[in-house]
Amino acid sequence: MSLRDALDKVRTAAIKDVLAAGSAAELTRVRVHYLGRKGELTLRLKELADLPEKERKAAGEAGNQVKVAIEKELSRREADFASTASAKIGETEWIDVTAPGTPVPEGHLHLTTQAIREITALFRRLGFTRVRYPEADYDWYAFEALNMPPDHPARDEWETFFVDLPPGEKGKVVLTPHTSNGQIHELERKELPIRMINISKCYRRQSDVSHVPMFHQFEGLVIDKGISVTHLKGVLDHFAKAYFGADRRTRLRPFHFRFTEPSFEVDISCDICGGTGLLAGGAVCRLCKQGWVELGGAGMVHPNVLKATGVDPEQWGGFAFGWGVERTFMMKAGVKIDDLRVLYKNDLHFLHQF
Amino acid sequence: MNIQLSYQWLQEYAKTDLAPEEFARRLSLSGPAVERIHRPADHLNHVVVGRIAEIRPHPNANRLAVTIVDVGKELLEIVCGGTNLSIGQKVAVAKVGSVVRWHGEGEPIVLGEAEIRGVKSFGMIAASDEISLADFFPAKGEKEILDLSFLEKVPAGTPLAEALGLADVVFDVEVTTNRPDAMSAIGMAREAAAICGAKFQQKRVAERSKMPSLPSKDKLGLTVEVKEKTLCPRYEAVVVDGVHVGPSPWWLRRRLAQAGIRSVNNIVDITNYVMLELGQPMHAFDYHALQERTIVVRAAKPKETITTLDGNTYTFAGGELVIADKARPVAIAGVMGGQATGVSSTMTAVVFEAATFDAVSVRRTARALNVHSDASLRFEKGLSTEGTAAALARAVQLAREIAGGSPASGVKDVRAAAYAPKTYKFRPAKAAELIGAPVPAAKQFSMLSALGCAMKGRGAVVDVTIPWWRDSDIEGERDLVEEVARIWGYHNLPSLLPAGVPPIRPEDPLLAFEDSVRDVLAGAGWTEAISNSMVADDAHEKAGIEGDAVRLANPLTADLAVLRTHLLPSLLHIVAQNQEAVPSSAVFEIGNVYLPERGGLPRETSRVIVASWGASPDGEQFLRVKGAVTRLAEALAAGWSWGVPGSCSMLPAKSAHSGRRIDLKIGEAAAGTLAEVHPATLARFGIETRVAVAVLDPRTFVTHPARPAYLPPPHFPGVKRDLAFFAAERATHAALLAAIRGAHPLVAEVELFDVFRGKGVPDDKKSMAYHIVYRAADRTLTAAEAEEAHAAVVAALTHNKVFAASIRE
Repeated sequence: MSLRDALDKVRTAAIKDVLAAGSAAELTRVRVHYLGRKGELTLRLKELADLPEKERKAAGEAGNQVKVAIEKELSRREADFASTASAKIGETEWIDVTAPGTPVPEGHLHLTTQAIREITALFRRLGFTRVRYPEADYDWYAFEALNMPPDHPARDEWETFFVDLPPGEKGKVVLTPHTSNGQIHELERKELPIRMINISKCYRRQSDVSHVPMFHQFEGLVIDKGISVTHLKGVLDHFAKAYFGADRRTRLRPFHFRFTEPSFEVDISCDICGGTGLLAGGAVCRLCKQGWVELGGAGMVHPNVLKATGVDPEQWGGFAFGWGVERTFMMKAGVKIDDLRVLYKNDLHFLHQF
Repeated sequence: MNIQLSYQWLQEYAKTDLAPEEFARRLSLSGPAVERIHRPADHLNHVVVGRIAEIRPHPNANRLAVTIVDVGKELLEIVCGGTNLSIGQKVAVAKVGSVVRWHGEGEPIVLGEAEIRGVKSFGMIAASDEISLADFFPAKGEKEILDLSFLEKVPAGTPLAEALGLADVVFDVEVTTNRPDAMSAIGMAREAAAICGAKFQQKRVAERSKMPSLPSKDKLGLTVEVKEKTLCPRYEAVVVDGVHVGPSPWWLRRRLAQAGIRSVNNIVDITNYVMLELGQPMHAFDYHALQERTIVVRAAKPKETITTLDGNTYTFAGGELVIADKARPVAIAGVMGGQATGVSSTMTAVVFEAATFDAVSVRRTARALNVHSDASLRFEKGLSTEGTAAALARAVQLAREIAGGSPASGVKDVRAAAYAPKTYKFRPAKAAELIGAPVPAAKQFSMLSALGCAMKGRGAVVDVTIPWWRDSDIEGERDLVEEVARIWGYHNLPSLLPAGVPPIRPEDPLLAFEDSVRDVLAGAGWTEAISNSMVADDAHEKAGIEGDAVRLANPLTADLAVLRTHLLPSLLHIVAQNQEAVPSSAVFEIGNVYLPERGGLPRETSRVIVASWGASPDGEQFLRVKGAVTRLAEALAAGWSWGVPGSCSMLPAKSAHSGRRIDLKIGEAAAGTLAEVHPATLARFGIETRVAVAVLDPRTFVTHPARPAYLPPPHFPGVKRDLAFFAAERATHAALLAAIRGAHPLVAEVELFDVFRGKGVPDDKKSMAYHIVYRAADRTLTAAEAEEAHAAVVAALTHNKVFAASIRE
């Protein structure tokens, strides 16, 4: 038998075996049988080396054609098997998709932290920078420079914690009952204009369901030229709508604080009664006052505050607001905490909820 | 402070017919805020005045009567259990359909026809608390129905609200502390005039402020001496003789009740009425009880006492301002009168007092003695010296009208100084600029004028003289701007964002660091806690923390007495509280500690504490915290490393487990300490499990922030080899790691992947296994090169006596 015939025979046999293979594994065996290192075709091709020079080239070409033909047939069949396997993968690799997922560590940020972050983000986009000023401070910063004379009720000891330290040049040391001391520190830096949001812990001598002795406030201060009440309105409107919802309405109501003039209470329309003061059916809404809920205080910085820090009130002016973080997030729909003191007791049942 | 304001009373002084809701809305936008609107008459639908025509015993019940009541067009049969029924008596009849509360308790119900023990009853004869009138008519006993016989001329069948004049609206108004002038009917009328354009009834006010003619010579003499003129800048008094002390007429009682004040008798009621109308508190003394007919305003002497009208006895520390007669204090000035000289039912002559007391003095005294009154709450806010005369005149008028008295002395008027009204410069252009709206100057002047101010000049700068009732409140030009702004109306202003260039200011790196810590730890499954900055007196000591802490001078409770100097006590407190419900967990806190500084403010220093608790036989808690701290250091610090085992820079050494602690270093500085807390310390907090903590100093991180730098990925593949060996128990990972890394320059990566003790491992040994990658930066290693490096590593381990390592094959 000539080499040619032998090659043809291998081709015929190989293709027959390829077509007869019933699985991808069988097909692999066929491949090894013919094309492996010691496969039938491989061995035949090795014999080519023994042929005389002039025959070798033609025989080599013929051998290669056989190899290509077998390869082609093998590939076609392999593709068939792969596509069949692909189609059946849902059956062959079925798992219980209702089984619970592999646990991922579940961490929690404190509710107050979450609120501070949200508040900071909203003011940041209006160009405010977050700062933090001392919690224990001289009463010059906490009161005096804020236009609160020594006999002001807020300075009496039943509302403010006093620190047991000898008075310094700037007075007694208190735990700040508000973040407004930040206004004075910020003004003292003498870097004008100012857009500050000061968030810090504050302290007052009271503890009941709606008061905690330690709480947080955020204090905004804008100092620039040509600032008017309209800007205070603009900034606080933006915050209120962004934080509480675009459908809420706000109003400024005259109020009284020593360190701002004019001073305001900022009200927001009640979420429960839709700002009407009446519930469906006509009953009076108990959560608000005539449809309004108090958000917090604000006002135009008092000229005396600027003077106290050496800033010329004829040149510069601005507005400030200082609101409770806890109070603000409690007013946001969805969080109903009937006793504020739970916030800082660190019961994990509480902390894990947020 | 909130006041209850009758709309009708206000309307006597300001002409307005605005609907109450609209009035309330406008007032709130520009002045004192109306928080609620009450309509007492709403409770009285279907309640009418009835006259008892007949009373028969109930056939089946001893304690009940069957009455026939005339309610105008019809006679009703009503079963009643009242104990004070009489024929001809006027009563309140709650007819079928009215809303009542049985015996004044529970939810309101709608009254229907009823059959009571076999007798039909068409309505009820009401007690005051059953128809929400307890404030007006406090019942003296149980089962006492409301006796309305004083409504002599009111025909039966008249709706009760109409008969009692209750078809009024009462506003619950919050008046800010700077506006005591608005805490009265006339004060609110002034606000209404300025805000709503209601015409202020000046003529009526003038008439009612006019003192009736006084005797030319004192019939009943009175000496007034003021020794403390700073604390009492004005004191006025007058004697009224021939008064008959008795109940007040209904109209007066109604006004007091609407304001939440109990009626006592006509003389006392007059003083309260005048206060509610004019805002000036008053007091009435029994003239004949004043020793030597003398009033002395002076400082109390130490240990002097007074028994006040409410029956309490107070001992003065000395220095409190009192009204005294010749012998003793007879009133705590501006706070409360004394019993001995109080109005009695048999007295015939009264001294009316209208005075001004120093706000701070009144507040401090009221606080010190813990006694507060409607008077003290007003005085505390600062009243003008110029409000006393009108109040005195009004009281004398009323005493004549309802108590039959007539003046028996001249007005004694002692004042510290002549009154000089205050005047401030005012620039309308500046006001418009601050408000942000072009409010015309003329408009501004008319607003100020409506508020009682007088303007001099009409140019760019005018002199504004403020009315006496705003003496303590308006302190300068800015206050006048506020007046203009609020009357103009904030709701009329646009909402604008400030123009100008936002200042560029880098975020405080400490705040940014704290936020990053939160992100890393919460992301890794840690829970954030926030504890009080104040801790108990012994908290630091219990946690083994030495050194002074800053104390509060006036702590609220003993639990919150000192400022924390360390986060450990707070953290251990959290574990102690949660250990039972949650046997193992992981928390962190970021907060300030307050370190005492010589002669200055406490140094507020930010700290991070990372903690986990639970069983820890092989240091599991330690390793859990170490994992978290490693993550933090990798993410946030440059050049960090671990200190020597046992180092303990940021925790008290005696509270840290000596075999389970180590410092975290950044550069050469200690940036924190990681340790298990010593069980003895835990025991002092009642903690029965193990706790590991890491205390970190954010400042060290902030000064060495992680700086991501680009390292090209390796160009040539490395050769991976695993190495398992037995090593001495005390051969540390850190030492082994250093030895492996130092053994050959081709060692590129080393990772510990297994530590095992037990079966197959000698007793004093542990089995350790490392992945090691050998790599060169400039070529692919040959097998021989890798083998050579690996052999060097093996030699480094096996030749070290401390490691006493033997390779496992």
